[in-house]
Amino acid sequence: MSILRSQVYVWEFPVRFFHWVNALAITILFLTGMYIGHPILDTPGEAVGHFFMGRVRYWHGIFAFIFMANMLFRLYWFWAGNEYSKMRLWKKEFWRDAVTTFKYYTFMTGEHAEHVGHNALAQLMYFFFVWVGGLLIMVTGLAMRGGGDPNGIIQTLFGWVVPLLRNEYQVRNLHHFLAWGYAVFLIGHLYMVFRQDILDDDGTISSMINGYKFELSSHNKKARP
Amino acid sequence: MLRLREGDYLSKSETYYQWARRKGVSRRDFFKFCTFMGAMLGLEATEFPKIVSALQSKPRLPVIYLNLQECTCCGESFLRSSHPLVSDLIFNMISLDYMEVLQAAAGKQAEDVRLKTMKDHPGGYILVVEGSATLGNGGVYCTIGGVSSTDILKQTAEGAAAVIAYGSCATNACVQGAHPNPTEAVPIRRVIKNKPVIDVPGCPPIAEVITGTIVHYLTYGEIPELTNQGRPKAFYEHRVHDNCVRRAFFDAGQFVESFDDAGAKQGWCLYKMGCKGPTTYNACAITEWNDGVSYPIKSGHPCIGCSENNFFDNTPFYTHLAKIPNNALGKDVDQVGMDVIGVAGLAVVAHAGMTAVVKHGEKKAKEGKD
Amino acid sequence: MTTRIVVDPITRIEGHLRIEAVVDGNRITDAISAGTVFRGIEKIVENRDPRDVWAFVQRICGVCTHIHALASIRAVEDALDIRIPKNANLIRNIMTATQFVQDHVIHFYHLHGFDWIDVLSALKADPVQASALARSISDWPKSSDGYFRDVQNKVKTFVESGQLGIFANAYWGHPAYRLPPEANLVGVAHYLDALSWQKEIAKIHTIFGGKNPHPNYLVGGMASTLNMNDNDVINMERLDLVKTKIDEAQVFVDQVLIPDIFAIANFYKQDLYGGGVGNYLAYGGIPTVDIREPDSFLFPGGVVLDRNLSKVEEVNLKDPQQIQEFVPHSWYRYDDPKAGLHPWQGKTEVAYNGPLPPYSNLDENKGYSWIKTPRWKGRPVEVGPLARFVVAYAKGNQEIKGLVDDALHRLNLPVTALYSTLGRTLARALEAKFLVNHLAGFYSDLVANIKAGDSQTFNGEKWDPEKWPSQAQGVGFAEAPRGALGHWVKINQGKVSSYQAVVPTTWNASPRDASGQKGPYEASLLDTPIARQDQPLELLRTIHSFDPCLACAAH
Ligand code: HEM
Ligand code: HEM
Ligand code: NFV
Ligand code: SF4
Ligand code: SF4
Ligand code: F3S
Ligand SMILES: [Mg+2]
Repeated sequence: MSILRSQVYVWEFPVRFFHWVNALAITILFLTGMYIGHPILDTPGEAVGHFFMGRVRYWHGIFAFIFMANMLFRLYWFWAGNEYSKMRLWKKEFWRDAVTTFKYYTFMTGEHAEHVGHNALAQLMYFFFVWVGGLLIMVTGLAMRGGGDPNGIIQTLFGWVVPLLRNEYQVRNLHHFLAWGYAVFLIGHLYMVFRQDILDDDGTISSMINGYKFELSSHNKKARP
Repeated sequence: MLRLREGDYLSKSETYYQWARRKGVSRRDFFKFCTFMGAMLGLEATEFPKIVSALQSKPRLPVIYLNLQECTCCGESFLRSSHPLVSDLIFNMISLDYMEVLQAAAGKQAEDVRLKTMKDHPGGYILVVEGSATLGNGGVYCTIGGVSSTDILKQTAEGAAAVIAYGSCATNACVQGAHPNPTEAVPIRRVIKNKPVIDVPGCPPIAEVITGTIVHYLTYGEIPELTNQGRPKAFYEHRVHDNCVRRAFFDAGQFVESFDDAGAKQGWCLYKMGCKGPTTYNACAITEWNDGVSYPIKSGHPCIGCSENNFFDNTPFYTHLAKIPNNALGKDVDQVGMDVIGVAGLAVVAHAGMTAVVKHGEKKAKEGKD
Repeated sequence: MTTRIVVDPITRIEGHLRIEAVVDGNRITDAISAGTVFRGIEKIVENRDPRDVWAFVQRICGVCTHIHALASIRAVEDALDIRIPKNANLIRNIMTATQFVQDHVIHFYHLHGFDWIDVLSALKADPVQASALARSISDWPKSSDGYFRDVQNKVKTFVESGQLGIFANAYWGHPAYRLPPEANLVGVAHYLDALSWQKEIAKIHTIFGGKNPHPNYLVGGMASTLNMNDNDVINMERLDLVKTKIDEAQVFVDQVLIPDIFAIANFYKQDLYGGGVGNYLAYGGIPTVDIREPDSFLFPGGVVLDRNLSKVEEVNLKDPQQIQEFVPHSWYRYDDPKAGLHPWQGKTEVAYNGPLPPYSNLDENKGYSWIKTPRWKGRPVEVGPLARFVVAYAKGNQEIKGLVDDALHRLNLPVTALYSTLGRTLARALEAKFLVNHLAGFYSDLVANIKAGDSQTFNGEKWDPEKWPSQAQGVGFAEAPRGALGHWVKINQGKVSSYQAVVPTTWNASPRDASGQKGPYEASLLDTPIARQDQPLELLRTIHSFDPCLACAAH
């Protein structure tokens, strides 16, 4: 059986750039955040010579802003990017596709909707874990940051979060909880990526590096972003 | 604007008007101030002359201090004020007409004083409330003179110029509001909805925080600027952690691991002992307690977050922030996180297994066909 | 003809107390004492970490702040068999004695003072004579003519302003006031002095406990780390501040409180009403060595029944037959409504059967109080400074007996005079004196122990719940300013499974029991005269002599 495969340029450079900056920022935020939550190393001697916790918090702050800027950029790219960069949760086709994909993943059907871009289920995962979770983690993080400068712009914009959650302890706790959301996402994400790559041999893994995916030309007309 | 600084108080016999004139405030400015006050209190323009005459003839601001469901520690803290000295405050600056703990009259005579102040100074007295309101069981959990204290609160707040919720009981129902809150204790802003309520939390608050808030009102004729949690910014804008004496040790990563250990003996950070300083907005680290002598952390005990809403349910106290278990789940955030990870991992493994089985089946079927 | 008078709120106390008294002519023939506030703290601490509970129950009361925290950590330490270091015991003692002295002074001047001192009469005083009077009884350096003139002028302008503030509508000029104008002026001046002073002695708490009111405690010792060679913890500079405040307290008690008490007692010594139940109980407290060694207590424990000083009964807080709480006239439900429950079996289950507010009278035939009815072997007993002194006196404690005998001698009164409203007030002042003396002693013990190389303040051996038995129960007790205090805890799987506090004012303000025996407040009102029914000054005086604390009583 011979299958014709053609290369499709799916992930433009900005998407790939976003993706890896995002992955790096989240990894560092997760690690530094967990350290802030559980500082395990102890430093002996006088305090003057040390600034370990301070540095960890500093890098958490730096990457928090990289993370946020990156997300903003991706928001822009939803608009500016190619067909595959969009996320259109409000479209009927999206949900129809979501149902088919769900059936496929739950083995209710062997029929496999081919996706050159994201599959709908993956998009839903991005939406909830990366976008909704990201928004919450940013808002809670900024609310905590804002407290450090009571008259600053961050406090003005995000000060309402603390009374909303009753006290800052709850804000911090929620922030910490959301961090775990990323870990859960990563497990699901990697599984789906590898699974896809192995089963369909469509170059999913390398696509996030070079931008290209393969598609079966026979399915070409059916391919959906 | 009228200003009163320390050593610049009204002398006892003076009215505000006399005092303002003595300080060089013109008659015209004085009327402007009165108009401003009236506007602030939301009064009709026709009421303004009343305010003018009130300020011309009433030298000291009447204050009614109610004790509801509480422990009177806030009242005790009030007595510890050093600047202003509480005796200066209550004998020279305000007219403390009703405060059960201090007033000489009792029983009906005491209640009469409260009613008289309410009648004589509509819209012109400050109401300070210590303690929570209670909604349970028709108000039987706290009565004064046979009346539910919650009703007394509503009645007295009606004509108050401003209401100060003094202490964590009044701002968040504090200990009696902690789970399971047997008496349905609620913050007073849950009961008073048509008035500005200034929250002055703490269990108790630092003395100067309440007297300072009152003096602010006295001086500027308006409530002080508030944080987004409704507390006077002058005292609650910073976290304890932001100005803590042990902060250098926090930043260095030097933590007390158990009480009285070698780190403790050098004053290291109490974060791991459960310190709530990082999430607690209060003046302790700056103002310090009892005229600047110390504050909990400085004396070796972690902050328990006593100015924060529901702090008695953000417990256990000696468990460090990230390890406090969720009340409903009984697990801390990382345990919950690990559980979720576990479930996700299992799901992935199961799904991968299923995939293998299904694919194997498909392959078999194909081979059968061939 | 009898009338039923209601005094509610009883002011100048902690919390919400209501007294209804039946007055026949000018004497009280029946009285009920009702606590009208309840918070449910015993229920709230259930299922909590036992190491946290001190902070919850400390909020039972902010007037006797610290003492509930102390009783609580002791209860947990008793349950888990935790021993505390010597320094921790000394620091706790310093804090306890500090609290007593501060609380007693506040009580005498600010809560009780206007029952004896007539502010309006002070306006008529001759400041020169007042000064002479003050100097004849004390070396207090402030007692100049000018000082009293200043105070008098202050009060005059205050009164003339027409805004009487806390003095408004009181019983000034009542015939039961007996002090001459000059003594009243001295009293008013010292009211103000005491107001300024009380916040100074509180700084001792701030140094060891981080704040006052509501300083911090720790199961297993104290968090107040000591290191004489470090700038960041409690070092010599901090301890010196403690010493300074102790010295100031000594001067204040010796030169202001004690002389005032004797001066006032001299004018009131014919008023020996208000004796009450005549049974006195003390658990004993302030351990100079350790709470497990009753012989080392400054206050001996015991019970004196029917004013019989020749016999002192032993108290055992763990004996289920001795201390029991009843609820026949309280708003709680027991399975057996007649039963008395030892606190380890105790229950706090609300069952309100009083009138719905607003109401004008309570019914003594039903429940009429949030306060339970504790009884010792079925008897109502009084607790407090007087009870401690009676028990110590009967036990022959030399130091306390000396103080009491000397005072009675100076006033030319028999020992039976103690069983009165005045006796209670006198005992409280003597107790302040007794403790301020010991304060300096505890301080030097602490410094000496540190000097000997011991700076430990905490024993962490059993901090970890893993090291606790799966079930345990304990009792923590203390003498509180208002009397004997006990907290009974049960711990199950590392959590509090039951918690009961029986508090001094629970004993004193308790409603009558099933057999109709009145509690100490109710009994003490029975022989209290009432000169004017609409101005029940004597009633207030008797009730205030107990130093009521209603947040404590019902918690
Ligand atoms: C994926 C993104 C992020 C992750 C995984 C993450 C994770 C964490 C974790 C685990 C903590 C410790 C909380 C605790 O002690 O319980 C923390 C603290 C914190 N995070 Fe994040 N965070 C993220 C993004 C952000 C962002 C966007 C901000 C915004 C500025 C932020 C600001 C903070 C702040 C202010 C703290 C408190 C640290 C302190 O005050 O010491 N974080 N973070
Ligand atoms: C914290 C780590 C990561 C996060 C938050 C993350 C997030 C995302 C997001 C948001 C997308 C959608 C891209 C877009 O539409 O802009 C995506 C796609 C993708 N990611 Fe990741 N990623 C992470 C790690 C990784 C890793 C480690 C790999 C490779 C082994 C990977 C491979 C891919 C691939 C192949 C896609 C395209 C999948 C598709 O066809 O839908 N990701 N990821
Ligand atoms: N009763 C009582 Fe307390 C005292 N002293 C308690 O232990 O006052 Ni608030
Ligand atoms: S806030 Fe705390 S200190 Fe103030 S009355 Fe309530 S329990 Fe007492
Ligand atoms: S002791 Fe508490 S408030 Fe102070 S630096 Fe450490 S964590 Fe922050
Ligand atoms: S416990 Fe309260 S007193 Fe200050 S340091 Fe923490 S807010
Ligand atoms: Mg009890």
